[in-house]
Amino acid sequence: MNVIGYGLAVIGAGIGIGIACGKASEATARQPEMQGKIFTTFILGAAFMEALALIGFVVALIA
Amino acid sequence: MGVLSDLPEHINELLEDLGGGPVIGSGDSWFYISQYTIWMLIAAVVLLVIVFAAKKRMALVPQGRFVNAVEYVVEFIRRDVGEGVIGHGYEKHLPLLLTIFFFIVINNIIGLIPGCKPGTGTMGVTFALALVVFIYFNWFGIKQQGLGTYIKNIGPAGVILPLFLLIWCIELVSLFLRLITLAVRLFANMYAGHIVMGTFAILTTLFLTPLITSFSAGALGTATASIGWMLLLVAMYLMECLVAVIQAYVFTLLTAVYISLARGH
Amino acid sequence: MSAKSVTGSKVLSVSLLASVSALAAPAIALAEEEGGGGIGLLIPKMGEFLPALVAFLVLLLILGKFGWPIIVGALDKRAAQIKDDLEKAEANRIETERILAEHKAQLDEARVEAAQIIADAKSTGEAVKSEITAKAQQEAENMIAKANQAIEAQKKQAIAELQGSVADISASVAGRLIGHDLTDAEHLKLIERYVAEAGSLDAN
Repeated sequence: MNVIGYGLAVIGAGIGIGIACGKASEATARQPEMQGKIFTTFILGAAFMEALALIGFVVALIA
Repeated sequence: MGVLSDLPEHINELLEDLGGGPVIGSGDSWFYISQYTIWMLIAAVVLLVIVFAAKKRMALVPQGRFVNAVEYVVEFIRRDVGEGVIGHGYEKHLPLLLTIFFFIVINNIIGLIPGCKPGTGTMGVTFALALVVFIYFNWFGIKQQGLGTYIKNIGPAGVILPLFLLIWCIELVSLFLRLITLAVRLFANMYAGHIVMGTFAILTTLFLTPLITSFSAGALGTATASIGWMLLLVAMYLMECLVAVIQAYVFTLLTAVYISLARGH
Repeated sequence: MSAKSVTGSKVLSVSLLASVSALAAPAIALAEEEGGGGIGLLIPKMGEFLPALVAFLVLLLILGKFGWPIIVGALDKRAAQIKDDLEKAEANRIETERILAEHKAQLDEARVEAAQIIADAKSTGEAVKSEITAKAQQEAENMIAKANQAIEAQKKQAIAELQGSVADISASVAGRLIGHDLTDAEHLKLIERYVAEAGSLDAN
């Protein structure tokens, strides 16, 4: 059950990071000169989304 | 064909190995030296050697790939993380950011060498790093804004009091969650990466064993599957090489973000 | 599951991946019983936490004091040096251009001056030449005139002298002839000759 729960938790983060990555690529394609800033923002967003997945991981371990 | 029947046992072995049991002292006492501690100390020494070697060779005219590489990374952290995220007055935070990045990245890379363990692969080390960062940015925020203002600024500005209190409580929890997520993110990435790599390595061996013990058509089929596991292992290894650097970058970036948030406006 | 995987097809390998994670679950549960896994993983162990904290703080202190500031300072110094050099080069370039323009202007001026001098010299030379020519011509004319005058004067003098001497000679000749017997024919001839002579002299 724990592992299934964690799998479910990861779905959300996976979708989120996927969308963020896609949008980041789009933004970079539109404005290649902003690549550095966009990458930083993307990594930041991905890190926060990952934090949610990690909460799922922690809860899966605790429960 | 009970190739996989041994798997749980092997995985348990792997997990126990990744648990990094005590080398000196016993696990029962509160203080002991574990394998992770030893690798962490080795990474610390490597970091010292790298930095002082680079420092010794610093010259007005850049020379040598090693110095150039160190300079490039320093410049990257300085421009992208320091100047880009913190902005003005980033200079005094540079030592922390640089030390964190180099420490984590060297730990991670040492962990990638087969047989070695990443110092960052245990909660003890990552929690220590996160705690230092947590105390640092809170102390900086309090020093910058004053204790009262800093505590007040945890909540949002310009909302009615009940809502403010609610959001303040949520934000306070998220503030302390930063400490945990910082530590867990790094640890989980390293730990999970090594579990996956270890599992693939175990599977490669397991599927190859029948071929070694007794040659048969079935065993040959199993061995072909082992090539698939091997390829997956290599792919995972390359991925982990990326993760090693990215996680160090993320940790440093988040530190910079927290510092810039603590500074207020 | 394991029996099927013997075929070694890729699809089955992928499905195996799923089964591995399912198998890992009891493994983790097993490890939890031993106290090595589960939530125990997430509780920092003091034995690892304290050395890490101390090591990191020591690193931070050492590198923060003796490591990074020197490297960053060297980078700064290099950047400043490069900026300085570039600025200097720019200033030098501007200075060079200025000097070049100055020299060009000077050169142009000199060229114009030279042309002027040459033109002046030419005109002066022309003037001198014409003057000299004129002078020479004048002198020549003067000389010719003087020579003519002198010739004229000498001619006149000579004529005068000659006329004088002719008269004398004729007088003496006449005296001599008078002493002589003149025939009529001789006499006439003589007179005629004298008259012709005098006439031809007159014509001169």
